Amino acid sequence: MTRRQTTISAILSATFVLLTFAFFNFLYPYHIHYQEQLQFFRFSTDYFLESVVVPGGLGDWISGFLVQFFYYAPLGALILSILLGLIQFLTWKNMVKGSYAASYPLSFLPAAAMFLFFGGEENLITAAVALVASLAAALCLIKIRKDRLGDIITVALIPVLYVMFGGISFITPVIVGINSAARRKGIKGNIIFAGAALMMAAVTVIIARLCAPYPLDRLILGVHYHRFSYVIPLFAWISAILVPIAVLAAGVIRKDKAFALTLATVIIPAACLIPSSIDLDKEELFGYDFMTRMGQWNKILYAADRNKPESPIAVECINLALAKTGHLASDMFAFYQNGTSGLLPKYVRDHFTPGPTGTVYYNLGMINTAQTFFFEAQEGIPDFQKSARFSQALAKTNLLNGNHAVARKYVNALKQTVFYRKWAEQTERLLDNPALIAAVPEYAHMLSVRIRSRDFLFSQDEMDSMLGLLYLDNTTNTIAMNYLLAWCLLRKDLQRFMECHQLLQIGDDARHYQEAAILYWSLNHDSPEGMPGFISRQVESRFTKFISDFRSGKNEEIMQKEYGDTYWFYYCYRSNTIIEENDENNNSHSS
Amino acid sequence: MRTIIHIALSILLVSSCYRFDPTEAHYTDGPIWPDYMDVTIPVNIAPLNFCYTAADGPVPETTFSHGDMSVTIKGREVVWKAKEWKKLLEAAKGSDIIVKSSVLQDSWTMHVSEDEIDYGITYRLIAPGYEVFSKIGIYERKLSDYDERTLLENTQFNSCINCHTPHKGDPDKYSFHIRGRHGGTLINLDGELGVYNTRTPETIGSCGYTHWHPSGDYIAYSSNIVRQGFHVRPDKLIEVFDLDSDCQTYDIRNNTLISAESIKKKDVWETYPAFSADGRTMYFCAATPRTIATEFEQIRYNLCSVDFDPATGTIGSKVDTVVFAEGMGKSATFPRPSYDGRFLVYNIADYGNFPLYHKEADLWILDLETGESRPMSKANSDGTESHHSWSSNSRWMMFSSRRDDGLYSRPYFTHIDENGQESKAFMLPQKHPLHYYSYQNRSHNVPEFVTGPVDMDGISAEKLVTSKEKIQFGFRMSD
Repeated sequence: MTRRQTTISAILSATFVLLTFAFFNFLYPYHIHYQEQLQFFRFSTDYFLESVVVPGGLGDWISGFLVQFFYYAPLGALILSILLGLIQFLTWKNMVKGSYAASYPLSFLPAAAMFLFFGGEENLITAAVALVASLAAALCLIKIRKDRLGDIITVALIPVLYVMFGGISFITPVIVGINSAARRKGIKGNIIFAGAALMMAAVTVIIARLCAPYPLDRLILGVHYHRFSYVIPLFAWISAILVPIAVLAAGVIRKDKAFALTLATVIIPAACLIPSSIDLDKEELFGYDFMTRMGQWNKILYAADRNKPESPIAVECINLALAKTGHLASDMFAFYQNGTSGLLPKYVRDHFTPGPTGTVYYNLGMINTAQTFFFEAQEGIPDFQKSARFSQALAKTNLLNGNHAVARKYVNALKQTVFYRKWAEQTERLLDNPALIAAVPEYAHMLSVRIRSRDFLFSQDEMDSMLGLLYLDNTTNTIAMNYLLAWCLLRKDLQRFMECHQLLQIGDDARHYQEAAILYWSLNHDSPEGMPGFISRQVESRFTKFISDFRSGKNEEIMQKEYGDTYWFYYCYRSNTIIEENDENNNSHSS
Repeated sequence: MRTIIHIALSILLVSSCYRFDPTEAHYTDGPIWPDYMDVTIPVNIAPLNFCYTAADGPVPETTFSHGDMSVTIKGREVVWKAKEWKKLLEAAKGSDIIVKSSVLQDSWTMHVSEDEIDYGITYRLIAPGYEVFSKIGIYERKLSDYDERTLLENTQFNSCINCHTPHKGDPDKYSFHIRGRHGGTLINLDGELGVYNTRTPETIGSCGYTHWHPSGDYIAYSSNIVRQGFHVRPDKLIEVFDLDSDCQTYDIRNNTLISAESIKKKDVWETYPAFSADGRTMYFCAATPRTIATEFEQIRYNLCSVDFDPATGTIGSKVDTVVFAEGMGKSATFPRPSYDGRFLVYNIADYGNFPLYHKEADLWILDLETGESRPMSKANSDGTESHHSWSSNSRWMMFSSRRDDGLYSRPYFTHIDENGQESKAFMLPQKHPLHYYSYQNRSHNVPEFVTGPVDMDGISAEKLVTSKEKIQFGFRMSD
């Protein structure tokens, strides 16, 4: 390449890395956090050995090492962009010597496919690590000048690379073979090499099948390239397969003038596929989960104000943020509400939804229920990894439950991490001297609001009773009280709401409580005489206007504009099917 | 570049060297852990390595002596050389090894029993959780050394594996269940592994708790509709209970489940069936059904029995109450008769049928000759004791105990002499016990003795489990 071409190529590569960094850091940061919370990388012998005994285990261990830095999104974005940059750079380096500058854009093909792969939240970067390692190995091998020696080493390395990095490493002999074929005279040597490599790969897989407890398809397609064992990590394999294709194509392209054309062959398909590979709805959801995990309540409310999310998990996080900031009773209907599933959703058997729900129960003071949800979230991780996030949460719940030996087990493991070590060491000091636990404000609060004297079995059907008992056990637990009343309101059970309101002698006459009370009154009485005294004149006059507008048949859109922040709008316009569905789900769960 | 390589190598080295750290766990207030003081051990057990719990002070010297033989080990962690250990145990067979420590005032003993223990044990390793399962496997562990072998892991088919139950420790004859997507029961009959659908239109569900008939021709199974409930109080977590349960026996030769009115009553929950040593009695636990939400603390099981005729597979109609636990305000579960027919060990808890989550659950022993029953005080602890199994010579009992941290079950062993007297229990030995048990984040669940290496071909098992074709159990009522 000329100097100008080299400069253009370098600019292209740098732009690619910068763009990918910008994408992950600014558009996709919560996907990065999502990856981090579903693994538990530890600096320990046991973890290392546990990881590397699986085919592709070293790649997985390296991936785990890198993903621990995803605790901070910019670091994660940097790592992902460097990995993609390396894939591109190594692909170019593996292209047949003497390739023209026009081939350079082709070296972006595998990296572009891997970028699309990173768009899926369940895709694991182990595949990218494996590809980088395989490309690096190929680059070293094609530098061996003696063909026969190179062939022997390449074939001998097939099982080694496979054990370290899994199925993707099979592209190494393919790249080496293409390079050898380009410089070798005669076909015989190529056939022998191809035959030997194929045989070695087959033997490697057969031996792996006999030794490792994994099904054959996973042993070939990668044990840890995707979180779900039954999903083929398609774009990772497309990325890997595109390497030899790019190398072959580079050997064909001879004209420098084709630069723009080859660049277009990369950019156009990648640009077309990006929308289908990224999921910004999930990004929003992961964002609410992350902010809830970190206790960023105001940030949640700010985001909710902007985006008005409707998914139950997001609404659940918003409601918790409202409760934590003391605004649930006055502002919850200013946000979209989807019944009780947006307040305390039923348990879903997956590795994501129990996380935020567990956090809600934790903040309510239902420590055992929170522990159940956190534990199930961790155990539900499809590739059988553990989670530093949930282990930390479990250490807390066990500490609060007085199960200090169990808490110490989690703490010991967390001490072997980079980002949770400090917290683990602080917690260890509490375990060494339990009298200090009550001196930590968070734990002191949790110990005061949790149920101590009563016992019953958790039942989603009797949520109102449980929340009531929780509040009665400690009347400073205002979150429990607000959740209880919110539960009644979301179920449109005004009778129960009024009973609870009176029974608990709530002095807090927040706006939504006034709205519910006046609505209840109007449904059961003909005149405003004797209406509860805590209903303000302002609420009364707004209700009168609402009724008048409602009776005049104003359409829903106008009503939402004027009364969308009131309980009345929820009561009259949010479909009852939401509530019925919630009930059905709750019943089927408990049966 | 050199710096990067240096950092990478350092990380690898740091993460791959074992270092003993006495602060890893705080399991006990005692001076050593595991507590191997004054225990009775079999002559063929792996070295009982242990560590001192004090992290500072002078480095201890521990001297083990018997007659003129003496071995001294220096260090906070006492790690034996296998040959020396074996030699000492052989010499001390039938008598005591005296243990003296340079840092402890009192010496202690380890009595070496003449009764050998079986070849090994099998157990399931599972995170002690709730409904969702992560990595689960069945493993075999030799008792004369520390070798652990994987028999089957759910990484092969992503389902739950449970209740690996051999016939009197026979490694070639066992049954275990797969739950979930690939549900079924695998039964190995002398090397022939088959997968069965145990659910029939006449039974309330798939087969559950398992016990083999001494002849190997029948397997007693329960069928349970199991649910979990979650407590809200700090000291209790889970309640596992049945909404319904029945017992039956599987006639292997005729591929038929046999039930009877006596063990399938509508107004009684019957579970945990087990055959007597002579095969002519079937023990089981029975309780009066109650409303779970409000009366779960009143659900109490009694230990009952019915006659069984192995020649015809006939189940008796008269139910006898063997232990009236309800009368003590307790619940009796998990009966396991010894293979010599002398004793029966069972669990006692305050209520319910799942002692694993009951801190108060203890082992009790019933003398089948005198009918006397008593708690096994020397083997029990303040923590949960459950899931017990007899060795093939009926002189050793293994059980799982949560005494160490309250959550993770670990195998413990106790010697039971000809009078039914148990010894102080000792923990399954490990090469580095403190490190192993501190970082083992799965429970040793349902441990069972085996008399030799288990015949298990993982690939064949995987193919059977994932195949859609399962052999259907037949069903008939007893004559």
